[in-house]
Amino acid sequence: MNKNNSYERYQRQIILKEFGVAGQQKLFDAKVLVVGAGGLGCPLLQYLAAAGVGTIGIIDDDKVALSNLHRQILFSVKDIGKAKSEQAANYLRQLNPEITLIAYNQRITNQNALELMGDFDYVADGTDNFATRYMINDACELLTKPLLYGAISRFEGQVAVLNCKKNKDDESVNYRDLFPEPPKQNEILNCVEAGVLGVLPGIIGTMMANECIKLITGIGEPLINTLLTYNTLTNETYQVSLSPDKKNQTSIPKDEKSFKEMNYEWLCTAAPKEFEIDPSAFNSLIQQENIDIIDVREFDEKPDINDFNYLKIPLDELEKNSSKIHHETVVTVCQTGKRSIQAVEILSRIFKDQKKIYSLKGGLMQWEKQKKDHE
Amino acid sequence: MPDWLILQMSYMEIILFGQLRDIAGSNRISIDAIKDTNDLKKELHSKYPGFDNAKYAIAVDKKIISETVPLNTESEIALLPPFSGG
Repeated sequence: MNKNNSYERYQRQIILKEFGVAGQQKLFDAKVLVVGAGGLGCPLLQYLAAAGVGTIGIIDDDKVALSNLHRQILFSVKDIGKAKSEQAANYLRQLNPEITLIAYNQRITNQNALELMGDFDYVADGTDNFATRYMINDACELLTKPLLYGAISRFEGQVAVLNCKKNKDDESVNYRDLFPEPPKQNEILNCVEAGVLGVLPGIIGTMMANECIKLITGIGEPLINTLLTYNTLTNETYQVSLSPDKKNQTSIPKDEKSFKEMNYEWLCTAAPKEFEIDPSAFNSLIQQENIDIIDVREFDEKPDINDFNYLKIPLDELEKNSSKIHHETVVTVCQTGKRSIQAVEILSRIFKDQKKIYSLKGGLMQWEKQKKDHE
Repeated sequence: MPDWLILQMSYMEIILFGQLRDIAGSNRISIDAIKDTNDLKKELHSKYPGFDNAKYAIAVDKKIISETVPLNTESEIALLPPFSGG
């Protein structure tokens, strides 16, 4: 920190006795990765940079569009068509040349997330889709990194600090403890479809910045294990506390390899009509807890299944044994994927819309083959 | 007055957030008193078919619950859907 200049720049916050020079130094030493330079990311980035967070990463693969400008306040008309991450970094360098800004003009995926996040102390999620949100959550859990969570819908926003412990012996909470099952993208409208008033991400993104600064400097009471909901129409806030849900811990990939093999897009985008799933989608599904896998082959058919838990109900006994199926999501498997399609028809007749029923495309043979190809 | 009659006369209020408000047509709804959060889901799903496809977390007395918990007419119940927007 350049002592003379810096003192003047940050003087108004340094004179707060809870904050002080020590707080400023903590900010300067901190590294924060902001995922998404959109409605939430812009105000968040602006306040983190202004406050003097020493290293800020900005990852976004999107380009600035005219319809962004009513809420994405780091951009102007001349930025349209240019990369958000780079334009945001340029703007923030003008605002505060004393800090390091790193722009990643790429999409965050489960292939690059662990590596990218590894260099930072905190991750802030300002993304706009569930597939990325669940992926970021799982990556933070694997890396044990605090996650600043913010999300909006029309006139309401949510803020929370996840994967972070208040005290050493506390248990941390993650997004899956709040929403165990990823919604399909078509179940919940995003900003493009539902609309959003520009100030809402402004408020929620600023709240995220506030939580981030509190967390780094250790002042106040950050929203650790707490979800805050804010409504712009009524100014009502509602806070609920979160606790770990043991049932969901198995949904999170256990290591880097299984994280990279997860198909997050599929988890959040499959339409119920597409009842045939391919081996990679199947691999993602078998990591979920709330699922029944049913082997509809005869009792003596080989190969035996050793890689996952399943129920054995041969096709012609399926109808009378349907009460053995308890979970909302069901995947049927057989040797080649033909009998399992019949099984889907039978089960769909019984359960109608109450369950999501899938068939493993190409059967266990195709799945085994794919597994071997990967090894 | 017998207990069952008191129970029948009482109701519970539920605070809704996000798109659940559109489904129910209101920020708050009242339902007849029920014994636990499992019955709550059943009651909501029968009263508002739109809840079938909706994902939401249930908070009882400002705590998100993951197991079935008992409810009484004093319980503060809130249903919070996930938001994806950013």
